[in-house]
Amino acid sequence: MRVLVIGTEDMTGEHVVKQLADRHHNPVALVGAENKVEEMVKLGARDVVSLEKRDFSSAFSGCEAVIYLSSASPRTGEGKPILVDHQSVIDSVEAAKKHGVKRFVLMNTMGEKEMESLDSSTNGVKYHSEELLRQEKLTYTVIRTSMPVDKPGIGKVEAGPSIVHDKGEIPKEDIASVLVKALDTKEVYNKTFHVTSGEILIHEALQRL
Amino acid sequence: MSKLKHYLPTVLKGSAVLGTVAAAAYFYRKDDTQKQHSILRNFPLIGRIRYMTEQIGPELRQYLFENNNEGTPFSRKEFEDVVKAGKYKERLIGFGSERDFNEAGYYIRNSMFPNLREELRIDNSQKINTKVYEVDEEGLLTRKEKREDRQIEPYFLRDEDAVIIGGDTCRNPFKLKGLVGQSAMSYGALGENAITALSRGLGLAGGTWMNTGEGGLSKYHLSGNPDIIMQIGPGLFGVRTAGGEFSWEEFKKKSEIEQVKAFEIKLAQGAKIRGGHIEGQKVTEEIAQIRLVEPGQTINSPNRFYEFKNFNELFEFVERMRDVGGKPIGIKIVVGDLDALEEMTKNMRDTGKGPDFITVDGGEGGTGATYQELADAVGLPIMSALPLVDEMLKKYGVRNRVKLIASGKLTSPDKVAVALAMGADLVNIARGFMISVGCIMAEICHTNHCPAGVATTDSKLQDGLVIEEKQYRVANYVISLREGLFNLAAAAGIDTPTKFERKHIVHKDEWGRVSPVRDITLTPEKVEKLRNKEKVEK
Repeated sequence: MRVLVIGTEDMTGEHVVKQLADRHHNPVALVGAENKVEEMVKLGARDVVSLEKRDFSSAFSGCEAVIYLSSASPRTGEGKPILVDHQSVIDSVEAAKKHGVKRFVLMNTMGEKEMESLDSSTNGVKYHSEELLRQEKLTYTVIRTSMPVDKPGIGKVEAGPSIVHDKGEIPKEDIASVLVKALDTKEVYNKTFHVTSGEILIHEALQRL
Repeated sequence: MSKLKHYLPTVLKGSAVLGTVAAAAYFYRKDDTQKQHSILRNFPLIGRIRYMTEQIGPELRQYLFENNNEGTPFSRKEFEDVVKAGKYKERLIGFGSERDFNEAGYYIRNSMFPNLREELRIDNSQKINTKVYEVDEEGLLTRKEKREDRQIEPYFLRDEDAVIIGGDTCRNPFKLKGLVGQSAMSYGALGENAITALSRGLGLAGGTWMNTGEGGLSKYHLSGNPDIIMQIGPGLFGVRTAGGEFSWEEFKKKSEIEQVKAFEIKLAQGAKIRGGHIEGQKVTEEIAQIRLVEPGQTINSPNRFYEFKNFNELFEFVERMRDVGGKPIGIKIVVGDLDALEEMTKNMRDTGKGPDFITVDGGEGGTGATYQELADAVGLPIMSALPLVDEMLKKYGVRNRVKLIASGKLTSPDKVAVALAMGADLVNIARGFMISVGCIMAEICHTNHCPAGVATTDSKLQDGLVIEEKQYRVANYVISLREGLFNLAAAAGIDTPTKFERKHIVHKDEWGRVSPVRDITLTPEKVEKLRNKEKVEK
C-alpha cells in the first residue's frame, strides 16, 4: 500500500516510515525541509515530498492511505500552546478526498476536549478536526494516545473507547506500531479509540476493538 | 543492678578519658623517640595532626575547599559534566557558566544567523535504546532516583560527511560516522569489567571506536562489538614471536578479525615517553596469552621499536603492514621535536609513503603510570601541537592523505570542537571514558588498588563496577558529545561539525585581547623564522 506519512519531524513519524517499509508498504514521507530527504530515504521511504519544492497536495497523488501525526508546531501561534494544528488536518482531509485516497489514520492526543473550557477566541478545539474527518466519506481511524515518551517500544498496549490515562504514557515506537497496524486492521475502521502502554499485544488490542 | 546503672556513665566517661590520655602518651613516647621525622620528634602530637590532615587533604580540598573550577587533572565541574552526561544524559545547566572568563582561552565564533536544527546534517535514522537515571527527589542525605529505559537519537554524521581513513590506500578503509572515540587503554591497565563496559557502551552507541592500547587485543575489547583500532607499542604485545620480534603471522591473524578496523603504531604517548615495565606477578595466564608473553615473567618493553629507527624504515614497515593487513595504519606521536616533524612530513611527500592517520597526543595526556617529570614537561600541549602538525602536513602537500586524531583532556563538546577547528579530523578521549565507567580520580592507577574497580585487575575491587549498569553511561556520554558538537556547529553557522575550521574559533588572552588562531599558533613559517633567527644569533 502506498501510504503518505504527514508529521515526520518527530521520532514517532520516523518510526512510522521505517515500520511501513519493514511491512512492505510503500511509505511516502512529507517533509518540511529538503535536508530531511536523505534521512527519510534511509528509513525506507519510497518517495519523499519536500514542502520546500512541491506543493502540499501533490504528495497525496497515487496514495491509498494517509497517516497523519498531529503535533503542535512552533508556528501554531501565540495563545495556542497545545493546540493541534487542526487547519492542517482539515487541509489534509480535503487533499485526500481530491486525490481519491480512501483510508485516513489520524493520530491525536488524549484530552481532545480540554480546550473547550478555555475562554479564548484564539483557541481552537482539537475535536473539530476529528469531527470533520468523521463526516467525510473516508475510512477513518482516530487514535488518541497518552503522553508519547522517548522509550523503546514494548509492543504491548491498552486500547479502548476511553481509558484512564492519568500519568499514562506510551513509547513513540509503540504509537508508530499502532498507527501502522491500524491501517489494515478492519476492526478499527471508522472508529475512534484511546491507547496507552499496557499488557496486550498491539495487534490483539486492535482486533478487540 | 541499680548501682551498676548509677555508676555506668561515670565508668564510661572515665574509660574514654583514660583511653585518650593513654593513646596520647603512647604516640608522644613513640614519636619522641623515633628518628625518621623531625617534626614528630619535636612536636609529637601537633605533628601527628599535620600528617593526618595531609593524608586527607585531597579529599577535603575536593569536597569542601576547592571551587568547581579548581582541581587537577580535571576540575570538579569537568568531572561532573562527564558523570551527568553518562548517568542522566543531561547537559542542561541553570543560571550561567562557571567558566572563569578572565582567564585566557578559546571561544567558538558564533554566527549572527545560526543554523536551525532542521538545517543540520545529522543522520538520526537509527535509534538507540539505552537507560538513564531520573531523579525523583533529592534530600540532604538521600537521593531518590530510578533508572529508566530511553530511546535516543544517535547523532551520526551523514554518510557523505563520514570520515574515511585509508580511503585511497587500503583494501578495507575505515569509515567513521562519529568524530569521538576511545583513546588507547590496555587490558591489564584497566580491568576486564571496565574494558567490557567500555566495549559494550561504545558498541551500543555505534559510530565510534575503541583503541586497545598497547596491551593487545583481548576478548573484553571485542565483547561489545565496537569498531577497534589495535595499538602496537614497542613491546609488540599480541603481535610478537616467542623471541620478542614482530610476528607478521600474528599481525595477519589480528587483521583478519572484522572488528579490527585499523592499527596504530605507538611512537610516543603524551605522558609516557619511556619503555614499559610489568612485574611478573601481574602477568597472569590470561594477560600472557593476550600479549603473547610468558606468564609470571617480568617484561621490560623498550622505549623505541627495534624494527625501525628512522622515517624511511618506519614508512617501509607501515607499507608492509598495510599490504599484509589491508587495513589503515596510523602512528601515534607527541609533538616536541619540530625538526623531526618537518623531516617526517617531507619524507611523506618525497616517498609518497606514510601513515593513513596520525594520532597527536598532547603533553597533557594521561596514563596509568609514569614519572612526574615526563607527565609534566615532555611534549607540547594539544592546542599548540595540533595546528602545527596540520600546517606542516599542508606545507608539504600531504594533508589530504592523512587523518589527524587529537587527544589530551578533550572531555567536553566545546573542547572537542576547538580541537576539530585546530585541525583534527577526529578526537580520542581516555579519561572521560574512565570517569563514565566510575573513575573517581583517586590517582592511584599505578598501584592496582583503584577504589572504583576501573584501573585494577583485583577481582574484589572490580566487583564494584557493574558492567550492565556502566555500559549505558559510556553510550550516553559519547552520544552526548556528538549531540553537543552539533549544537556548537549550529551556533557557528555550519551544518555539521566536520566543517569546523580555524576561522570558527578565536583566542582571548587574560587581558581581554582577541586574536585569530593564526596569530597565536606556531606555524611552519614561524618555525622557519625562529631557525633563521637562531642562525643569525650564532
